[in-house]
Amino acid sequence: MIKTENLTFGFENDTEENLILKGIDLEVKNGEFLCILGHNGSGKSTLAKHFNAIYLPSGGRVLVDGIDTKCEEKIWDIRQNTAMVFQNPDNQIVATIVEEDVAFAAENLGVAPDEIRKRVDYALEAVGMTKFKNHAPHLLSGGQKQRIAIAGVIAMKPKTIVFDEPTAMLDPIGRREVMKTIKRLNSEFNMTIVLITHNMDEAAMSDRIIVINDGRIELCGKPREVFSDVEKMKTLGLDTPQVTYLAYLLQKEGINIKSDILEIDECVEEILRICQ
Amino acid sequence: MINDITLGQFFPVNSPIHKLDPRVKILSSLIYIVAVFFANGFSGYLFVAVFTYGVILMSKVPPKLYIKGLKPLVFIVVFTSAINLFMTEGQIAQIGSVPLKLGFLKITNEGIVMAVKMTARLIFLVAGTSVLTFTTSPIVLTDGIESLLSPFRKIGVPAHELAMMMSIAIRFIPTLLEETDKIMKAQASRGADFENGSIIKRIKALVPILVPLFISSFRRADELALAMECRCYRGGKGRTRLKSLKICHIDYAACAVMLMFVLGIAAINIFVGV
Amino acid sequence: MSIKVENLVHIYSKSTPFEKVALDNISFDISDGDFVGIIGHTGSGKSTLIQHLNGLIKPDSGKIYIDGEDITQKDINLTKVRGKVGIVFQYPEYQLFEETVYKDIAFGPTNMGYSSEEIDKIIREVIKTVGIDENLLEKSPFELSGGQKRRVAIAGVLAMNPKILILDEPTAGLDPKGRDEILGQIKKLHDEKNITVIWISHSMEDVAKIAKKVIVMADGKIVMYDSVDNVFKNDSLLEEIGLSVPQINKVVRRLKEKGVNLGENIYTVEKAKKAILDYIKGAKND
Repeated sequence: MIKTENLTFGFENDTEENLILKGIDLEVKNGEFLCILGHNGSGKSTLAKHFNAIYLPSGGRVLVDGIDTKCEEKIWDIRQNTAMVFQNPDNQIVATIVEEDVAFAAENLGVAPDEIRKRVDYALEAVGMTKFKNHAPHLLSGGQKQRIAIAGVIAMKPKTIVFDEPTAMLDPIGRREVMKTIKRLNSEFNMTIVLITHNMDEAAMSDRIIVINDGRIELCGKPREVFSDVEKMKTLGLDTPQVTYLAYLLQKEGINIKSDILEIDECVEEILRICQ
Repeated sequence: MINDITLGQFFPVNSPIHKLDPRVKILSSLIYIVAVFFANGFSGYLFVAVFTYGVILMSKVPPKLYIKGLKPLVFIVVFTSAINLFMTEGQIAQIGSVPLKLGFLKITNEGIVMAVKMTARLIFLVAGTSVLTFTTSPIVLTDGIESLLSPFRKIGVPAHELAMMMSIAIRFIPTLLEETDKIMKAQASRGADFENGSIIKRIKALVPILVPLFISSFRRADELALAMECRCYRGGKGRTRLKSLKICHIDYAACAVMLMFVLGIAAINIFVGV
Repeated sequence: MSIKVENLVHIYSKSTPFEKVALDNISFDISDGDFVGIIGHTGSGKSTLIQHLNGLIKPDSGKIYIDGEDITQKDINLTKVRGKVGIVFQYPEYQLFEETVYKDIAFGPTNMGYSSEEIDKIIREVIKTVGIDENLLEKSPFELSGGQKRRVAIAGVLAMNPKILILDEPTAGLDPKGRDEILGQIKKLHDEKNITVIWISHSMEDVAKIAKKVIVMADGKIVMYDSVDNVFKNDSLLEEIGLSVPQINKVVRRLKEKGVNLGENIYTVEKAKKAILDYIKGAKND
């Protein structure tokens, strides 16, 4: 469980106004799939980097499984507990052979070789990349590379994985592969997921969305609730899924339609209803 | 596409030499180099040649590639042979009854022998060390160097750090090549010309490539460092390995062969001497 | 300016074990002032294709005519071709290198041989097009935000005054607001100056918003080249080759299966809204 209490953050010389995070109170529950939205520069990445003690709070505190991230002796426990995957898969891969890259984190933790072997096989299986274990990463596709990066953190056996725009540089096929993997980690492996994204269809897959704007939590709730506030989302510079937006436009025309539509089937049903 | 380049000179086939532990190969190469310098007389050279050729055949790397590896050395070989040929004092060589002497240039019998010996030595050295680079991938080579250097950690040799730096450098070669290609194309699309003009103009034309390349390398380094930190990297202390190097039967066999090689050269030096 | 491509073939690593046919006998025409989207997944050949259009890559066979001139012939002046055909590559901000924004934008036109007065005029114009403030001109491009850098890089290509503008995923990695702004600026540029635009994207949604025609590529071939309407009619083919189809398309298709036919050519939310309102009105009148 990750908990932030009145978290503020700024670099040196930042005045109160310029703080990047201006008081965030948030609890990420075990097994939850949380999505963080916000335009570029809103502070969402900065917030995420507090979850594994890459950044330390200027004010307030962050607790990972009850441990304050400021506690220096526990820093490696925190990083093992809360893993991070970044945007550019190329810049996360350390080794020239897939399985050696996946082993990297476990090696750093000083795990015994037999156990590393087990964890590598497990992690590659979890992301569906077992048959590529002896490949050179630079010859794989973007989506495959990103799955290798995910396997590389799974080998640490973390409880939470924070994804910082993991699909931003991928094509539709790569995106689908990665999102499927993330979904699977959450539902089958019961991992806590924190996903930062700009893609609203990906956000719609989560259990809960928080929208960050100018260092504060602006909206928080189930995807349905958050997206149904189309006007607010627009003023925050964010998209809504097309079906939600359609319902919003129809409602504005005086049509009696549910505003919290999220899925295609739902949308089809509602339109069938109003058309008959 | 430059994506398909193989790293270094590594030639991936399955041979007994490929299977050897990198440490055995590195040490064997060092011993070989020293031994070649001790080899003496034509019988000694013949012995080294046969041994080298045998190893090359065992490596299953096409001999053509070894010859290709010698090409850059042609100049050095010609140059050193010429010096040896003309500068060695001794009895002037003759073809029939014509002495090989023209002004201050002269060719002596001793000079011919020296030139042939030097050439043979250089060829042996290059061919022998090529066996190492052709049969060992750069990463495995790095592991071997790390392992060999680790006893010196106590006197402050950062063995792990050096090896990590080398392996990351190797890992990023294809990425940076690809990046260079992209940047060159983008600047060419803006009218940059890398092929024409004076040398100064061409050097200047590199600025629009090098600046973005440097910046992007730093950005990558930064992101990689962050990703490594997130994966709990904190130096070599307490680190374990998925695959640790292990000495097997074949490695003992290789050591035995090397021992025989050294003894052979010693024996030829002592007993044959021609 | 028009583009005509005839039987274009490009093979990577020819006669090696890595041989790969990147472009397999491609032919098409783009007429002056058109706005064409190219979609296809990674490795479909779209990047290779556009690099042929300003002579960065030479074809193995085939001809490319820009404004009637064959640019595959030997003694062609490539600098001139590149002035006519501007390419904005993926993540163009990674190519910035000068000390100031001004100098960076000036790089292209200087290479093209424009005078410094002309360049000054051009720069002040292009920054308006991409929405960069004049007081940023003397700043280092590396101090700017990601979105601003992207615009400066696009301005650097626009400053060469190209008659054909090719953009390779110009909105990749931007947030929704940044994406919509670039989309709007390029559309405006096209409308006002009537330059030919080729827009490469993975996103059918973006292409639907902005392009007039679409080229769909897969495995080095053109699978479809048609108006946006007709390409979207064939959305099952798009899904087959691994492209994502906008949600709206799926909604309309399913409604049709269930007996509510909203009509043809509906692939944006606005169009869907209108069609639904019309349908309801029609149903009431019946």
